[in-house]
Amino acid sequence: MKKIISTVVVFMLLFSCVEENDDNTTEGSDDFDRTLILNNWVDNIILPAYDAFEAEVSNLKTAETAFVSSPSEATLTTFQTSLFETQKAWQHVAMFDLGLDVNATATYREFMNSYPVDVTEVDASLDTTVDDIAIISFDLSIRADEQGLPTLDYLLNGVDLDKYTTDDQSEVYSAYVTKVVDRIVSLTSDVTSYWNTNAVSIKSDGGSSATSSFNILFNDYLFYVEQGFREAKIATPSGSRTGGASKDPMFVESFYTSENSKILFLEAYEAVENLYFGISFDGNSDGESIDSYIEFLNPDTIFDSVTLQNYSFSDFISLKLSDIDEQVDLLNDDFTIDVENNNDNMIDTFTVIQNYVVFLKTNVVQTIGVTIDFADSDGD
Amino acid sequence: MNIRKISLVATIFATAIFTSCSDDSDDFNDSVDFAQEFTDIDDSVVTEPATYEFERDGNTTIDFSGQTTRLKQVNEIGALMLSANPVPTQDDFTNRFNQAVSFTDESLNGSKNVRSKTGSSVGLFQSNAADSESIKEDFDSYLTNQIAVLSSTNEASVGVAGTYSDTPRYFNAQGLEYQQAFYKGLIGALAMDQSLNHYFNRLDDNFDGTLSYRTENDAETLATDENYTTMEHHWDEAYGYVYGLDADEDNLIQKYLNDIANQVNFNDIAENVFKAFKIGRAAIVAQEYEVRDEAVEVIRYQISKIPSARAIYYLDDAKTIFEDETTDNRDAFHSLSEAYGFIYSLQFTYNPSTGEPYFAKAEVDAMIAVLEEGDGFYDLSTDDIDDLINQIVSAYDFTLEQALEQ
Repeated sequence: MKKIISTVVVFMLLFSCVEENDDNTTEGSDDFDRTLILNNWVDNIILPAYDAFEAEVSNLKTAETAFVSSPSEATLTTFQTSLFETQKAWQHVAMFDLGLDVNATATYREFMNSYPVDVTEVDASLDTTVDDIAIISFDLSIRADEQGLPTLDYLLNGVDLDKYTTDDQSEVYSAYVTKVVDRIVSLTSDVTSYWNTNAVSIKSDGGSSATSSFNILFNDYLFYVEQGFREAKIATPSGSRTGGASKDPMFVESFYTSENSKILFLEAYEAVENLYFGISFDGNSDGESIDSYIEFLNPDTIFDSVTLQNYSFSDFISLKLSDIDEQVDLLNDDFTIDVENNNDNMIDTFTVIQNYVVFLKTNVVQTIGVTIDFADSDGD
Repeated sequence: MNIRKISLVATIFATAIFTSCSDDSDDFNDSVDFAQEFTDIDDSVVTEPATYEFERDGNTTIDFSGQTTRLKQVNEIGALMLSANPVPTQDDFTNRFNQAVSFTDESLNGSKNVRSKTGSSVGLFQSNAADSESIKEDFDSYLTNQIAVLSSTNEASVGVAGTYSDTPRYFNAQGLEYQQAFYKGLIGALAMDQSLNHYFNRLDDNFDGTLSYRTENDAETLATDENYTTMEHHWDEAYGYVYGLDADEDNLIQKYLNDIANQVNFNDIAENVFKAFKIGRAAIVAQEYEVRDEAVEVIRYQISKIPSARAIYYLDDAKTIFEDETTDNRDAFHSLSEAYGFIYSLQFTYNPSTGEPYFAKAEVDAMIAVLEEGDGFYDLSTDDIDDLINQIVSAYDFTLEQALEQ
């Protein structure tokens, strides 16, 4: 329940600094103009990523309508393909987890992509009636893992087509699918309109206080790299923290189409890298971001515990990202295969990502003077 | 999912109140009387090389081949502990651990062995042969008892040694993995003890107060047939127990200098240890012994954090699994086995404030007893784990939260 309060607090603070202009923000201890980063992030990364995602969601709704009105191999395949495209586009917006109503019980990312799906609860709902489906409240945080992309993956790829055609419960299955897609559409509509409405004020808030745009977005990035990227995609399925003892392939993202899990991971990895370097969503431009901010501040070099040498920030991050690249190259397209047969590769992937997390939380945070606004998670 | 953004509120207030103290925020404790970090060392009078390379007349003065040999021996013995087909014999272990004969890597056979250097520092055991022998026997027992575990065809369960999960894990009847006890225990009993309590006590003389090695170093009198002074060599032997193998081959201190870099508040240990070693060695060349001794303080302080921080980390992992109703408690036993070894290693730490280990042998024995009593890990409670964690934290200058922050 803490997250409810915290989400509210985050939005109150974001709005307050936006509406009151810069009156309650403090000047940074350096002369770097953070609005340059904010402009690049919002205009070249966030808004284009949301545009692209919203387009995929729109296609998803079209595919869902076609499927529900005429369930067949053909309409199902189109729907499945659309879901995969939506999942890929999702990886580029997942880290910008702002914009839901202040009373929401979970964040956008939690409603959209909590996995594994709670199959027991979903199946229980599918065993009811169309009327019962209508009154399920997806607004409850406890139902975050009964909706969103993972639930849709289960409904389209983990359930036989005849559940939607000849089965006694086919109308209920269709109603549930429609409800899940409509929920994705409405949440996404809320969030994209938030970003479009607030883009100007977010970009202009160049302060360095804990409530400034930069600090909130940087913290969201850090939180995502830890929780959405490291934990959810790698650490949890591989049981990294128990030496693999608690591994479970069911925890792999997109479990019912796990052959896509590496593709989704690589999309997310690209988004993680792009934000750090300020590379635009279309990949065509390289603007101001964390890397150029650090270059401006010209900090001390960083010691690497493996090679026992010091490196500049840019060389150090190249080293750490190439460690991730090398390790990820060893992973199968289907992470469930790694978890079952080569779990050490997954655990090693966790380790190299954690190196990047620690780099962000120590070297970067200390250099640019951001206050981390969430307590750490040790993976529970 | 575990979100704790609630702390944002506190953070904002804290930021508002404490902005003026930010320079000190990285230090756990500034009011101490010894050098904690390499930057605390006044090294203005020594010339520090970029890498750990020292020469005299164009030839290296560094030699830690004996340490490299022993670290490799540890690895071969440790690997043998998981060989289920064929199951090793007592001779297979004794030959290697005690005699240093019949290693598969023949270069490891010879006069240097692991057992004689286990729990045998002048600092802790010169006048305490009984404890030294008792420690050696602990490691003997890990090896001997592992034979029965490897021979078992049972699934590990309460009171029954055997395998668990498809990794597989080899648990004794109480859930302990002897290989973890062996490796993590030797981090303290071999590598830390030799480095921090043996060679650092034999820099000026052979722990006899004569200052004979210092006299030789002042005169640049070299050891017989060698290119180094005894003081230089003893420093390098301390260094060799940490850096004697490549980073990716080591299973003792260096492995954990890397692993602990992934714990945010211990991220700087690796740099402090390496740079203090480099400064201290340069100080010996420059005959600047105050600088050297500050480097010793930094290394002892920093390395001594490793077994405590890792023990806490693994105990907390195990507690999380115990508390999760959906997981098998045996999932926690690997972490508990890691913790067992790191707790064992606590008796070989060195607290520069007291000149003693952070935990005496008797205190460590009592903590180990908590892990072993009754059915061992099978009837360990989360309260037991909390007690152990709190006891470890209480001896150090970091908080539980700092220890666990990722």
